[in-house]
Amino acid sequence: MPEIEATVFIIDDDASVRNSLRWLIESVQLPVEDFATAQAFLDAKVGQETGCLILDVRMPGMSGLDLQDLLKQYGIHLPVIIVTGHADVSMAVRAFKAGAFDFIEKPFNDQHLIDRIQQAIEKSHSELVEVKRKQEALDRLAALSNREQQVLDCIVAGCSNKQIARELAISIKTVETHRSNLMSKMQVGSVSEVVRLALIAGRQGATE
Amino acid sequence: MYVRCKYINRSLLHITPTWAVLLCVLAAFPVIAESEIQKQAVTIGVLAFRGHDHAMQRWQPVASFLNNTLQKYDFKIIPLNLEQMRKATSSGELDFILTNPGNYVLLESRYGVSRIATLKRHWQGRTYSQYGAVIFTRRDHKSIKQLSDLKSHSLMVVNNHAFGGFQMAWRELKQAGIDPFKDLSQLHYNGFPQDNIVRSVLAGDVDAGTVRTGLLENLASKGKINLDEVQVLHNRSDVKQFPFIVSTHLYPEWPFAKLSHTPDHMAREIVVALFSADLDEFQLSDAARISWTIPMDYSEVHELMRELSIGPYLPDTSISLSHLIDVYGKWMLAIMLLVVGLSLLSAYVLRVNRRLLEAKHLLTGEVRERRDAESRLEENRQLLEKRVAERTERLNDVNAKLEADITARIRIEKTLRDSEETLRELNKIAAEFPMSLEDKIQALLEAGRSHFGFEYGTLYRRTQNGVDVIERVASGENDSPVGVDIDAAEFDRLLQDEQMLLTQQSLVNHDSSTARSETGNNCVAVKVIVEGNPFGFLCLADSGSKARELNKVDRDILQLLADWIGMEIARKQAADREQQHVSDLAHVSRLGTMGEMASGLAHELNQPLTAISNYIRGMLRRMQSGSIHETEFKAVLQQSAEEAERAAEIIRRMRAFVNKDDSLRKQLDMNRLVKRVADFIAADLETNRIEMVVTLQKEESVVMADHIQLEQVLLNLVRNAIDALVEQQQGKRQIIITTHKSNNGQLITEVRDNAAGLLVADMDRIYDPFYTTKEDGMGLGLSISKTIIEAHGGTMYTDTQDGFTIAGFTLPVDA
Repeated sequence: MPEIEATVFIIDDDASVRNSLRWLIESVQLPVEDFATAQAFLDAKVGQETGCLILDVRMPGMSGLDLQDLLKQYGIHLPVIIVTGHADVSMAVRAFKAGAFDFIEKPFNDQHLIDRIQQAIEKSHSELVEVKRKQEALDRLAALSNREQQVLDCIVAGCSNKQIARELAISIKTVETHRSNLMSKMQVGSVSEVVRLALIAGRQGATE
Repeated sequence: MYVRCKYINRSLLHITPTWAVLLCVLAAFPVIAESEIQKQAVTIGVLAFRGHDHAMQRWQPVASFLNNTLQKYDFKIIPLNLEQMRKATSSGELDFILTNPGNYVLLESRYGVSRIATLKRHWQGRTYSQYGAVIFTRRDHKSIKQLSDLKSHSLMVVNNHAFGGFQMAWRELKQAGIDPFKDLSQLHYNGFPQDNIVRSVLAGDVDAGTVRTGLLENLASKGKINLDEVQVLHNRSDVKQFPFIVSTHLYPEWPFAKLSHTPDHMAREIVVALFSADLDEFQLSDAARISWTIPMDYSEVHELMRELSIGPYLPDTSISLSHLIDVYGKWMLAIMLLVVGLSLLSAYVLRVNRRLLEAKHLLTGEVRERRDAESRLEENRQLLEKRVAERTERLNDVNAKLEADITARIRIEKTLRDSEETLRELNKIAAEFPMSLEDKIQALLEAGRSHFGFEYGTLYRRTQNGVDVIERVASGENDSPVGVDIDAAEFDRLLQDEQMLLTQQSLVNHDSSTARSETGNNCVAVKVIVEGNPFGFLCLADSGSKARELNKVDRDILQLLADWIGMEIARKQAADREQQHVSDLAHVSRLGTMGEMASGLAHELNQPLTAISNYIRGMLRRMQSGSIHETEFKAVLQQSAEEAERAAEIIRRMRAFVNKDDSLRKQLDMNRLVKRVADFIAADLETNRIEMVVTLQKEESVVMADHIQLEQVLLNLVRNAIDALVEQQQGKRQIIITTHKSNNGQLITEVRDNAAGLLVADMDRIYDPFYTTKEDGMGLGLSISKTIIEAHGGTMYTDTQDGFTIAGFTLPVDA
C-alpha cells in the first residue's frame, strides 16, 4: 500500500467512544481529528483532503445522517462510515442512499473497521488524484485562445489538418500554426497526449 | 175548560131547550160546512207591535204551515194593535190570537181566551220558552251602578203597554223603589224596533234603556254592538237554564190562544199540528227560529199585572155598580124581567118538559160525540205520556253510559296512580347511582313485579347449554318459584318471534308438556333485546290461574322495564369490553416499555463496551508493532477500567429500575397470574398451532410480588417457548405451564416446551445480556427476567428433561 497522506475525521458525542476510536485508529498510524458535534466539524472548514469521516448516527444537535446531506451541499467528498449502536434497516438504507461508504454496528470488530477505513482512504485518495488531474488539464486548456480551442476540438474529433482548414474556413498553413501553438501551450509533445488531456478535462471533441 | 163550559151550557139547555137546539145546530155547522165548502176560514189575530207588514211577514210562516198541515182550514194572519186586538177579541171576530203575555193575561181575564201553546225560541242551539227584559246602561256610566241609581236619570222604553219593552222593567223598578213615572228625569218612548233603544243608550242619548232579553246578544252576534260596553243593571244571569242576560223575572213566551167560541177540536188539531212540526217549519221571516210547546204557566204575568195594578188588575173605580148599570143596565133589567117572566112561565116550562126530553135525546148524541172527543184527548195524552216515557228511557240510557264512562275513568285513574308509583320507583332506580348491574336488574324486576302484583319476576337468558335464570325476585319466601319452563328450542323460537309481548296464552300453548304450565300458572313475559339482538325474557308470574288483562299503560311499563334491562345489560357489556380493552392495552404498553428499555439499555451498554474494545484492540496493535509507551499503556488501561465500571453502573441502574417500586408488591395468587398470561397469549398459540397445558397447584399460591413484573417474566418465558416451537417444523407443538410448591417453601413456576431446545453450550450464557439464539432477539429478555426474579428473592433456572426445555423460577411463598 503506497503511503498516502490522509486524515480520519471522527464525529461522536460520546467522549469515551471518540477517544477510544482515536486510540484504535492511531494504532495503525493514521492521523485522526475528532469533533464532538457535526457543527464543530463544519466550522473547522476542512478543505480538499484525503481521508474519511466516521459518524455516530444518533447525536445531539445534528445527526450523522443530517451531516451527510450537508456535506454533499458543501461539496466535501470524504467517504463516510456510519457507526451506530442501534442500527435498523431503514436507517441503513437511508445512509447508503445518501452515499455512505459503509454502515457499521457497535460493537464492531476492530480489524473490520480499520479495513474499511483504509479502503475509504484509498477511495478518497484516488478520487482526489482524479480531481487534481482534471483540474490541471482544465488549467492548461484555459491558456488556449478561442481559435486554438476550436482546433483542439477538431483534433479530439479525429479530423485531419485539411478537414480542419475546411471546417474553420482557414488555410492548412494556419491550422498547422495553431496546432503547434496549442501543443506548446499545453506542454505536451504528442497529439495523443493532447487528446488524453482534452478528454480528462471533459472535452468531447467537435461535433460534425 | 172546554168540557166544563159545555156542561154549563147543558144546564142552561135544560132551561132553554130551544137555545140548546140552536147551539147543537151551530155546533154541527162546521161539519156540514166542511162537507160542502172546501176550506173553512180561520183567523189568527197577532199583535202587530211593529206595524201591519212586519207582523204579516213575521207570522206568515206559521199560517202557511198550518194551511199545509190542516188543509181543510184556511188560516189567515190578522195583524192588530193592542186596542184592535181587544176589540176583535171582545167581539169574537177572531178564532185565535197570538199576543204578548201581558196582553194575553188581560184578554184571558176579560174575554176568556185560553192558551193552547206557548212559543219556544231557538237561539244558538238552545231553546227557551221564557223571556224577560234587560235594563242596562253604558259600561262607562259613572253614576248608575244598580237599579236604585236610576232615580233622576232618563230611561228609554218601548211604550207604556209594551210588556217586554217596559212593563217587565217597571216591575223591577217598582221593587227597587222607583216609580218610573215620577222618579225618573225622563221616560222616553221609543216604540219599535228596540234596536234604537240600545243604540240611544250606547250613544249616550239616554242614561238607561230596557229591551227584551236576547236582543243584546243578537246584536252582539251580528257585530253591531260590543257587549263589553254594556252594563246590565240588576243582573239576574244566575237564573238557571236561561241563556241570556236578564234583569227581570222570567215570563212565559207569547201564547197561542183560542177564543172562547173557537171549537175545541179545531184547537186540538192546531195544537197537534204545531207540536209535531219540525223546527224548520217556523223559520220566521226575521231569521228567528221558533217552535211551539205545551202552554206555560202565566201566573208570573198575573203577578206582574197585580203588582203594577195594570191589565186585569187595573183598580178602576168606574167599574162599580153604576158602571155596571151603565153598561149592563139594560141586560140587568131584562134579566129581572126574565126572572119575573120565568116565574110566570114556570107552568109553561113544565109543559115544555116533554119537548125537552126530546131535546135530551139529541143531547145524548152530542154527549157521545163529546166522549169521542174526550177519548181522542185521552189518546193524545197517552201519546204524550209515551213520548215522555221514551224520552225518560233515552235519558236513562245516557245516564247508564255516563256511569260506565265514570267507572272507566275511575279505573284509568287508578291505573295511572299505580303507574305513577311504579314510575316513581323506576325514577329512584335511575337516580340511585352507582348500582351494580345485578342490583339494578333486581330493582327493575321488583318494580315490575310489585306494579303488576305478581309473585315472581324473573329474567331468563338463553345460553349455550339451555335457559338460565339471570335474576329472580319474589314477593314472599316461597321455595318453589313460579316462572315459565320452556325448553331451549322453544325459547329460541319465541325469541325469534316478531312479537315483543308474550302472554300466558302464547307461553302455555307452546309448552303444554311441562307440568308447571299444566297447572295454569299466570304469567306475562316480554322480550329483552340487547343491542338489537334477542337476549331473553323478562317474565312475571305467579301461581294464580287468572290471567291478567294488561292495558296500554301496563304494556308500556312492561316494555319500558324490558328496554331498560336490555339497555343496562348492553351498557355493562360495553363497560366489560372497555375494561378488557384497557387491560389488553396495559399489557401491550408494558411490553412496549420492556422493549424500549431493552433498546435504550443496548445503546447505553454499547458505548462503554465499544470504548473498552477499542482501547484494548488499539493497545494490542501497538504491542504487536512495539510502538507503545508505558505512560500510554497505563492511561489506556485506566480508561478501559473506567469504561468497564461505566457499564457496570448501567447494569446497576437497570436493576434499580426493575426494583425501584417495592410498593407495587402485593400478595398475589400465582395461579391467577398464570391464567391471565395464558389467556393473553391464547391468540398467539392458536395462530401457531401450539397446544397449551396448564397444571396448577391446587391451593392458592400466594407470593408477594409486583404482578406486572411477574407477568412480564412469565410472558417472556412463554414467548421464548413459542419462538422456539415456531422454528420447529415437525411434530406436535406443546407448552406446559405448571405451578407447584417445593419442600423448602418455594413456589415453582415452570414453562416447558417440546422444541429442539437449548444447546448445552448455550446454557451458561443465556442470562447474559445481549446473548440470544434468536435471529431477531435482543438477548435481554432472560437477563431482565433473572434480575426481576432475583429482586423478588427467587431464582431462575433452565433445564432439559425428556425432550422438553424447561424454564422456570422459584419465589418464596408468602405465608
